Amino acid sequence: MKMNDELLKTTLHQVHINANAKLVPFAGWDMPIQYSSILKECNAVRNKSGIFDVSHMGRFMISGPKSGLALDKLLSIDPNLLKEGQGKYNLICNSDGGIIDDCIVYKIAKEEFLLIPNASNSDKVYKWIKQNTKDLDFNIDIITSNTSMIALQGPESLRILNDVIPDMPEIKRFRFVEHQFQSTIMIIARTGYTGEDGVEIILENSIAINFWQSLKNKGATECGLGARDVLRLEAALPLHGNEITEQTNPFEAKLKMFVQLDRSNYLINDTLTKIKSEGLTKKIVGFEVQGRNIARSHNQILDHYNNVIGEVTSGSFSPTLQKSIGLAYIKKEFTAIDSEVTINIRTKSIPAKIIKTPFYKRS
Amino acid sequence: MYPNNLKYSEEHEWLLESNGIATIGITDFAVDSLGDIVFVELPQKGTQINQFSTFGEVESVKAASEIYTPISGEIIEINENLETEPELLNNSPYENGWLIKVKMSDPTEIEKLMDSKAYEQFVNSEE
Repeated sequence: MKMNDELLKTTLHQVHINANAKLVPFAGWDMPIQYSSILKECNAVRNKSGIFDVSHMGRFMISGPKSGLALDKLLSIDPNLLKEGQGKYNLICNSDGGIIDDCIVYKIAKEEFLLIPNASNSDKVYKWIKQNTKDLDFNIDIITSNTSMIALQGPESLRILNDVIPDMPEIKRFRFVEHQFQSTIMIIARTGYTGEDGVEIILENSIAINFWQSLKNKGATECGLGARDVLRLEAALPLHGNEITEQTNPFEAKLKMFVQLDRSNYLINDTLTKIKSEGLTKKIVGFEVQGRNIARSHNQILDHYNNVIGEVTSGSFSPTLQKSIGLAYIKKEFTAIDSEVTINIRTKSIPAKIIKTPFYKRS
Repeated sequence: MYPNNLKYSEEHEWLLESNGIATIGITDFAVDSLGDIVFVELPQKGTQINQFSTFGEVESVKAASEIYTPISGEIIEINENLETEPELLNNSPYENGWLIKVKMSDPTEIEKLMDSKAYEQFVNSEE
């Protein structure tokens, strides 16, 4: 564990301090967990727009003649099949099929890709790529510290973006553009981690503070990682370390649609094919808790006979749905929608029900 | 910084004494560290409680936390508004966000609590 004075700081760090944000150590970075209130920030994103400093996330520029092949070997999808200007969610799995990280890969050009791993897994992902591509001619340029990354999320986000960037072109979902702004180049992608419409913007550090202030002045609410976690849970988006780990595979995490098999270059094609054919023993499900107690990660889930049948991976009060929700791994035979289970929340046994995910879907 | 008509416990509860009745709540320091409170669980009226034992819990978006009583006695009133408006704790921890009223069984127990100045020092030493 790094000591406080060794924590990395984003370019926007002082802006967060000036805004009285509460800062906490997160994956080696000193990051804002909340500004005014997690609930208010969630509501802002669901109803208007919020901005998040996500500069701690990794940004790897991967280029060169064999860059496409290197990624085809390691990602759960073949990035060469993407169109230039397209991005896709995918998983990086270890040789047992366990999930090292989930990332988005963007195809910038035929031999140039941008990979966005989680902050906490960036080093691991870098080593995994290096370790498995020794013979290939390509280059990884880590641009994490010389760029910033801002997520602008919520129904008013595109209006706000257009106010700040008047010549903003239209971007489709999971597409991105490289756009010139104040003599710098920004990468603006129609992606996010909140279940709302919005964009994620990679920009040069030199303009990050001004750009953040402009978005704020046009009506975006500053939001911290606390709100981001609640919003992603409402949208039932997995968080690495909770729903997905090196001990879970993509199929039990219900991420089958992000795994392309029958690929000759994919290093663990056979491993994942085997796991898929063997079938699942456990599966991720959504639940709602009766009453207002909140289930937390690692709480046990029991059947009617008090046998342990699963474990909570994430839980929170949902401000949008006004109820207590969560995700859990449960033995497959207990995962039917509307099944009733019991969750041990500290000293209490609380009834809960398996429900459909996502908990929240924008209209 | 902390109201000087109140007494405080090391578990960050406050107590207001008036004619043998203690009104009990949690301090704004506790509320701030919990963040948005979404659920408050309190015992029923008539429950006997003992000084420094747990009597309920508050659940925030981030964490759950037990509440300890700073005094012994019988609970004669609970703040029922908290059932539908737990945010009263965030918005008004010393007034509308009070938790329970207790008929004290031993008012001398108050001597074991801190005044506002001592509590402020205690909070600063904890941070």
